[in-house]
Amino acid sequence: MNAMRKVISAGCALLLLAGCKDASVTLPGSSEVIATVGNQSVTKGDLYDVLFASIGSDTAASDALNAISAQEIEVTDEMKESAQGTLDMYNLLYGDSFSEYLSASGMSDEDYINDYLIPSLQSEELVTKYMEEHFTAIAEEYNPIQAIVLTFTSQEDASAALSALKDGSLTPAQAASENNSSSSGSEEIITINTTSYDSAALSVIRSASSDDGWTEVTSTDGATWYLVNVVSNDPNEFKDDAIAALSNITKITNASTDYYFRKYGFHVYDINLYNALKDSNPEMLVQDSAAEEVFAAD
Amino acid sequence: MNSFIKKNWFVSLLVVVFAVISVYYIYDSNKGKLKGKTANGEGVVYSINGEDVTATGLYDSMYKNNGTAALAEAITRAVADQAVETTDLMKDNAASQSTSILNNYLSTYGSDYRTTLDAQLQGLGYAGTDELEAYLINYFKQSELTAQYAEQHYDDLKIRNVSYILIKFEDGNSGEGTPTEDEQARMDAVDEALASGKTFEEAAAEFSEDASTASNGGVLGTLDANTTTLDSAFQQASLSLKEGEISDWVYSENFGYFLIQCNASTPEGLEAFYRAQNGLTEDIEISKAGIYDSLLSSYDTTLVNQAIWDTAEELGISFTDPDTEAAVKQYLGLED
Repeated sequence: MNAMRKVISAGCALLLLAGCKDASVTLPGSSEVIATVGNQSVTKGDLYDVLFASIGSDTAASDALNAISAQEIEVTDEMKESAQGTLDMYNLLYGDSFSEYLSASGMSDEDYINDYLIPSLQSEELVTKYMEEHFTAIAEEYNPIQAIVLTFTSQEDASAALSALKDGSLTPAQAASENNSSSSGSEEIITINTTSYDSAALSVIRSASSDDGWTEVTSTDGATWYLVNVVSNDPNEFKDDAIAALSNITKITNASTDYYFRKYGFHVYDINLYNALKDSNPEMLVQDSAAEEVFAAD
Repeated sequence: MNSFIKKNWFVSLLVVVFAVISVYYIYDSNKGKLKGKTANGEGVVYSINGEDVTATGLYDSMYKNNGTAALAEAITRAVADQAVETTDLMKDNAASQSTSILNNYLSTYGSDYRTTLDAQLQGLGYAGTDELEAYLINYFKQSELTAQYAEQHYDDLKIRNVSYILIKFEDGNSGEGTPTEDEQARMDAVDEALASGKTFEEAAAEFSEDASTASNGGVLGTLDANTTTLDSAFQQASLSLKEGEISDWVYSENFGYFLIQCNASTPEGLEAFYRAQNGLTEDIEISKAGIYDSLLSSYDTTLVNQAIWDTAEELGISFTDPDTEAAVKQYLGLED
C-alpha cells in the first residue's frame, strides 16, 4: 500500500505542474516607498508598472540593441564629433530648457553623449555593417542600378535636352533646367522598390547598360517623357550609395535585427515584455518560430 | 513489488493509464508557455549576449529615461485626488468627454482602439480604458486646484483679462515708435468711434486689424505676470490696467499699435466677465477651472506645477531620497 501511496503522490505532484502560467517577473522591493503625499504613497512597484506600460518595450529593445552595437561597432572619432555636434545643436535650439532637462534626468552632457547619442550612432551603423556583409545577396534581391533620369512634360523639351546631352553641350543638370524639367540631373539609385517613375522608364533602366548612353522613353499614358542614362548596373561600383539607398527598407532593417539578435542570443523571459515586443518589434523575438513567422510575413 | 502488481494488476493498469494521461496533459498544457529564468535569486526579464537583465536592471534603465517625469505625474495625480472633491459637474463632463474620446479613438484606430487607449492610460498610471473617466476627473481636479490657486494669488500674479484693437504698421514702415500719417489716421478713427459712444467691442470688430480677435470683440483672454508668449510691451501695459480701463495707444515694435481694454482685474470681475461672455446667469453652476481656462491652457501653463506643489506641501509631502525630491522639483520648474 505504501508503494501505491507513493505512486499517487507522485501523480498529484505532476498534476500540480499542469496549467503553469507564462513566466512573469516581479520587481524586488516593489513596495518600497519613494514619495508620500498626504495619505497616498508612490512605491517603486507603482513606478515600474507605469514606466513599463509607457516605455518598457522601447527601453528593453533599445538597451538590447545598444548592447549588440557596442560589441559590433567601434566608436570612432567621427561619431564622437557627430554626437558633440548634435548636443551643440540641441543646446542652440532649446537653450536652457535642454540643459535643465538633462539635469532633471540626472545626466551631464558627457552622460548624454555616451549613453544616448553615441549608442544611437552605433545602432545606425549596425544596419550598414549588416548590409556590407550581405551585400551580394541584397544586391541580387533589390537589383540596384545607378542612373540619371530627367523628366519632362513635353516631347519638344525632352528632345531638345537629348540633343544637347548627346552633343555634350550641356550637363544633365543644365539640360533639365534649361528645358523646363525639375529633375536635378544627379545620379540616383533605382531598385526594384522604386516607384517614382513610370513602368516604361523603369523597364528601360533595368534592361539598359552603361554603354547605351541617353535614351528617350515615353510614359505608358503618353503624358511624360523621360531621358534615362544608366551609369552603372554593377552594384559593387557604387556599393556605398546602394547601401545608403537601401538602408531604409524595412525588410532589410528587420533582417539585420533578426541576424544580430540571433547572433547575440536575445531571449525574453517575461511574458509582459514578450507581448509588448510582439506588438512593437516582432522582428526582435528570435527565440521562437512564431516570431519567425511574423518576421517572414513582413 | 512484482507480487503486488500481479495481485493488483487492474489497479496497477489504472495507475499506469492515469500516469500516461497525466504526463501528456502536463506536456500539453505547458506547451508554448514562456519559461522563466532567475539569476542571483531575481527574475530575469531578458538576456542578451549572455548577460541577464533583471527587473531591477530594466527599472533602473526606464527610470533613467523617464522616471522623474513619471514620479512627478504620480505625485500630481495623488495631490489632485486628495485636495479636490469630485463634483457632479466633473462627473457629467467626464462622461460626455469620455464618449467623445472613445468615438475618436474608434474612428482613428479601428476596432482595436481599446488596446491603444489601454496602453496610453496605463502609461499614466491607470488600469486602462475602463478608467478613462477617472483619468478625466483627475485632470479636471488638477485644473480646478490650479484655478483655486490662481484666485488665491490673484494680486501677486497680476491676473488680467484683456481685449485689444490693433493698428498694424503701414507697409514698409519699420515701426520707430512714431506713427505715420496713415497709421495715425487709422488710430484716430478708433478714438473717434469710442468718443462717439461705440463700445470697445464694437470698435474692435470694426477697426482692429487682427482678424483672429476682431470678430470676437477684441477679446484676447486672461494673462498674468508669468505669461511669456505675448509681446512684452503689450503685456506690461495690460498688467498695469484696472478693471474697465482703456490704455493709451501702446507701441509694439513687433506688431504695430495696440489699444487695450482691461475686462477684469479682480476674481469677482473675472467671474462676471466669464459669465457674460458665455451667457451664464448667476444660478448656473460653473467651475473655477472654466473661469481661468484661458489663463491655464494658454497664458500660464506652468502655474499648475506651482499649485500642485504648494498643495502637496499643505497635504504633507516627503521623499525617501532628497536627490529624488530635487529632481522632481527641477522637473516641475520650481525653485529649490
